[in-house]
Amino acid sequence: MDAHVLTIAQARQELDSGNVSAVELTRACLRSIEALDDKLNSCLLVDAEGALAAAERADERLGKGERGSLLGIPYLAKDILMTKGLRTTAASKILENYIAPFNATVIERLEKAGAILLGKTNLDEFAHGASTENSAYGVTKNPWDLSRVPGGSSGGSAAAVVAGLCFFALGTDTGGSIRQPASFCNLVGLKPSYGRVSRFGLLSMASSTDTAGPLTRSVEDAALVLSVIAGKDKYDATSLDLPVDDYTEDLQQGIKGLRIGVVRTDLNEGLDENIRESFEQSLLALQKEGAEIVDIELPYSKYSVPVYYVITPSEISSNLARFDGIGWGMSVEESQNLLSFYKENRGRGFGPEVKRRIMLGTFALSAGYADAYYKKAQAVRELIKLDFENAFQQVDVILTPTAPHPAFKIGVQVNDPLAMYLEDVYLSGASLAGLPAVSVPGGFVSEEGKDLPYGWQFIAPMMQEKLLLKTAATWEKINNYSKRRPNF
Amino acid sequence: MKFKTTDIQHIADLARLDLTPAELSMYGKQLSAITAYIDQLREVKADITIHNSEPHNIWRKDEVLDWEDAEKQMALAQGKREGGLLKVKRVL
Repeated sequence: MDAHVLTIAQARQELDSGNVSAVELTRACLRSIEALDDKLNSCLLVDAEGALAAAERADERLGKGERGSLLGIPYLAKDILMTKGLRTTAASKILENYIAPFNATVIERLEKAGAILLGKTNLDEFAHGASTENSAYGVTKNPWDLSRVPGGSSGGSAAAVVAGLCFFALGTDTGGSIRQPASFCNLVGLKPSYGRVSRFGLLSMASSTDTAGPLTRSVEDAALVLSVIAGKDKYDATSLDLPVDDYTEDLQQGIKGLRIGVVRTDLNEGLDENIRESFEQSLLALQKEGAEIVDIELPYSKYSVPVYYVITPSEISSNLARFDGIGWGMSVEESQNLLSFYKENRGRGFGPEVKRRIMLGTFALSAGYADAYYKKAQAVRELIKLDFENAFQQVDVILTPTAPHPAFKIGVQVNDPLAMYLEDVYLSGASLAGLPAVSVPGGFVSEEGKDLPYGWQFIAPMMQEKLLLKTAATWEKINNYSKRRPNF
Repeated sequence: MKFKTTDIQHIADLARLDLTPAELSMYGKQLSAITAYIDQLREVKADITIHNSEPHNIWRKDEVLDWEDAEKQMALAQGKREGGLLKVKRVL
């Protein structure tokens, strides 16, 4: 069976009708990984033995007549989610040999549902980046053009899903890290509302915006995964105690009468000309489906990147203080005293971008500067949230490009941190406001003879994932972009 | 904000990071550029009123729960240990 062509929903039917077993699906994925991942470097760990054992258990459950949306479906998880008994590195040298003693709640929920963990995917170290170039274990390549990045920080997850190494992958999104790689790889990438999915066992980056969510080949698949991983968790006090919907329920309902907000200034300078034109065409196509396009303003959204790059590094400098070389991770033996031990472990264990963010955050929180930077950014963040609240008085969802351009070449932005931060220009607003957002395939542009995908982002009000996914599913249905696969 | 090497060294000390001279110089330049960009926030008039939002503090009882022994062993197995305790460098 060719796992490349199946969505979760299709594989589900094959499993339930007995045409294929979970073990066969798992073997197909393991063969794909074996055959293709040397070219991509999307996996940091493959647990073939564990996956096959889990597949046998899933087949037993299926054999007894049990049914479930993800029962027997193989997946990969970003290596920043704790997996019991398996190495969890966050793509950092400082956690090179770290074996997680417990499962993240999302991993636990997928395990209970019978999904099969194949291994762990590459990312920017501690999820700090937008290209996967900041991994201590080498860059992941984009399957649409191996000289380009897959986006980041969930770049390994994105490359693996579009290349057919698994049926879906978990990513994490703090300021765009699921949505941007989804755009660069032609996938659906869902960032749930803050608090919709437990963060327990997600190695903290910025605790006030961290979320976990799926990268999938269809909107329906994203809905299936979300329905399993969402919900209150006693181990994450910020997870919300609100009912979990069946997110697949409304997918076929269409968008007649739906008001879609567009911020015209989003389409100004900086946006690729082909993508801009295609965006205008897409608006017409959505109108044909019965949606009303409404021009809106988000006056403070232009400040979302500077706000994000104060708040996030500040939270990072605090969250990553725990990596001190005691108890786990790498440890410099020759240091003489505790202070130099800390400094040497951290100086050598962390990579350049992680250190840059720790430095920036330490500065933004330091005496004499905290008011001008951290507190100011928090105050502007409230205005950004209010912007969205006001906009959602006029419209039901907001549509933006996901990224200003298709995937860029490996190496071109690596020495320009500010350019890399601006990758998040359409994405950080929803993160700062905690809103659910999804990137869906928007089309292709041709560059140097290669077709490169780009994505559209829909943003919905807090906890309105059902509405968000219904809108995305309607868009998906009126084009065939999500069916295209890379040849590499 | 323009960072001098002494400023960057001070921040690195606060952050418990041992940086090479090349790193100090690189981060000096980059942090100067990044904060120059961030400084556009000065033009915004904003106070720090937190508006109503869905997430809010959720409290639970502070209860002692048993920690699965296998998990505890796995967690502790990765540090240096002496007599059941984690061993650290001299503090004083």
